[in-house]
Amino acid sequence: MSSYRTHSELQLTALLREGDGEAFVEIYRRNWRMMYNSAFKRLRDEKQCEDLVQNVFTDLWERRGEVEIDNLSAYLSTAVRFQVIKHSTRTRDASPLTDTLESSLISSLRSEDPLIEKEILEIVKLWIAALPEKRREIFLMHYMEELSSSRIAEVLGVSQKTVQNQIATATNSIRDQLSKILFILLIAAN
Amino acid sequence: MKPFDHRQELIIIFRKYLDGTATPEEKQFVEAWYGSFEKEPGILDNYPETGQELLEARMEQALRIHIDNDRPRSTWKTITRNIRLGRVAAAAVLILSLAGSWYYFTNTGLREPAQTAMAAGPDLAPGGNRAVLTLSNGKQIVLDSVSTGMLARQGNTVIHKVEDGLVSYTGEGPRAGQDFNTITAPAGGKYSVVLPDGSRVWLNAESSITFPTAFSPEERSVKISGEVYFEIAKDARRPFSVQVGALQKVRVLGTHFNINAYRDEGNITTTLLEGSVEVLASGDARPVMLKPGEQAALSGSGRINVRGDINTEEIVAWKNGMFQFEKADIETVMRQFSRWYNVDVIYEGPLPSKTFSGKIDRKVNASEALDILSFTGLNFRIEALPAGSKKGKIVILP
Repeated sequence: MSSYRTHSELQLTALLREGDGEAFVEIYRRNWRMMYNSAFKRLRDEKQCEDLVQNVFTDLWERRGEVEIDNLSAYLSTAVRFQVIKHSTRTRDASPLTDTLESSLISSLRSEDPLIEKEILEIVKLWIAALPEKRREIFLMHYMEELSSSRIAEVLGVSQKTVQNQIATATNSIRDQLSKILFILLIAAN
Repeated sequence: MKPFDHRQELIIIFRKYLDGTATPEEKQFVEAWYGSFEKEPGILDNYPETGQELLEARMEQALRIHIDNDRPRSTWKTITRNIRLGRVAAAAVLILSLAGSWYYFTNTGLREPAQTAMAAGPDLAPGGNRAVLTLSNGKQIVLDSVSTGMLARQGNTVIHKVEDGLVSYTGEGPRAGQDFNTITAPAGGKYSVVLPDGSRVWLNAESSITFPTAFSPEERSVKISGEVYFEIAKDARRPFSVQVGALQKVRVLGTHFNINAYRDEGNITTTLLEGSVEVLASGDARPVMLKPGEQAALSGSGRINVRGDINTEEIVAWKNGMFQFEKADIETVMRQFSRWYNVDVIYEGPLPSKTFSGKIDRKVNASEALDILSFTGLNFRIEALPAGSKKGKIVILP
């Protein structure tokens, strides 16, 4: 058993295909921490993370003869992602993955950290792009409302009046960028 | 204004992502949003080392149970493959005898056991590497749940768990042993031990061995119960002896032999594979010398009978992970099953008069081992474990 410790990932994958239980356990030992942490970041529930990690592994064991795996850790990361997302669609329990989108979008409007701004801005863009048209309109209106209820409303107010100016003086500030994007999208949606 | 429910919108997109119908934009968003959590701190960094180990062990145990339960299918595949390769076909093929008439199950005769029948009823997992080590101070270590590495120090002797199913005693010092350790394999367990002198023993289920943590310069003496297979390291200056209860003693120099002293087996049988041993019954002054291939059977009345031409492979099959029978009656078969699957066996109606010959992998679940016997027309039922009970029940039907 201990001899498997020195096996490469590739060797272990090949042994797993043969139905080698000890190779399977060694794969588990090497990867469970990464998977558990990864699930916890999105679910924040230790019991569920434990179940999830075990589900991924029992599934791997059951499909040991079928699955083609070139990169074991990438395969396991993807499996965790699917399980986390699957779990999020089923459960009524709160989890960061489903419940923090709105608050991160809103709080981003007040953020002063340029790194976070950049990342959230990217998420906002992708979110807007992913939403179906009707939903997108509603989201934008909702978001505008949020904007107007915050200090940012002033910025948006200015930009509504002088779009040209706004584009010309666009800074790295998320507020400015957001107002620009939202305004243009809102125009486009109408 | 209509409220916008972020959670609901997310779940719609998540569902499409899961069933593969997401648009590229939706997919891109899901992965970016999921990825944005990567920078969060990992929970395990906050756990103490022992907490992580416990969690790792707990999940590993659950996974091992899962793969053990899943074994029968793969074992059958292995058997079929062996036959296809023609590797010692007779050894892999199951030979089952039905009241004296022989049936050979060839490659075409072997098939996957009916999955439905197996899945329907309760089942019992096979035994595995389980044992408890009792140190001289009475402290007990459950060997199957500790990780590999050093377990304890007794005098100069260091005890290591070498791998799953094997512990070793090394560094035997000059101090003659007053400290005794005992290793006990429970029902459904087995274990192997390298003794302080380098001799190796294998314990079958419901068996134990007691030995000093350092042998004396004059002799090496151990006590056993149940069934133990020995491979004794040669040391002409220190004869090795095995005490079995108060009834029997075996003296050896360097040799391979098996002692079966289960109470329910009636006789204490000592079977020699290599070397030479002397069997002494208490009360019987005349020791009996065995040659390889011979078996001494000590009856309850204290008489020793010696038989030659023993199929030693059958005797030590358990050590090699197999059940092996040669025209064995149902009770002989079931005594082995009861120890390995940790079950009580109940006979409803008269005992079946059939005899059984053949090999069965000890890794299969009870249901499959019985399924194999049922090819001869044996009827059985496995009863679910009653709540709170650790022991299963096999009922043999007329």
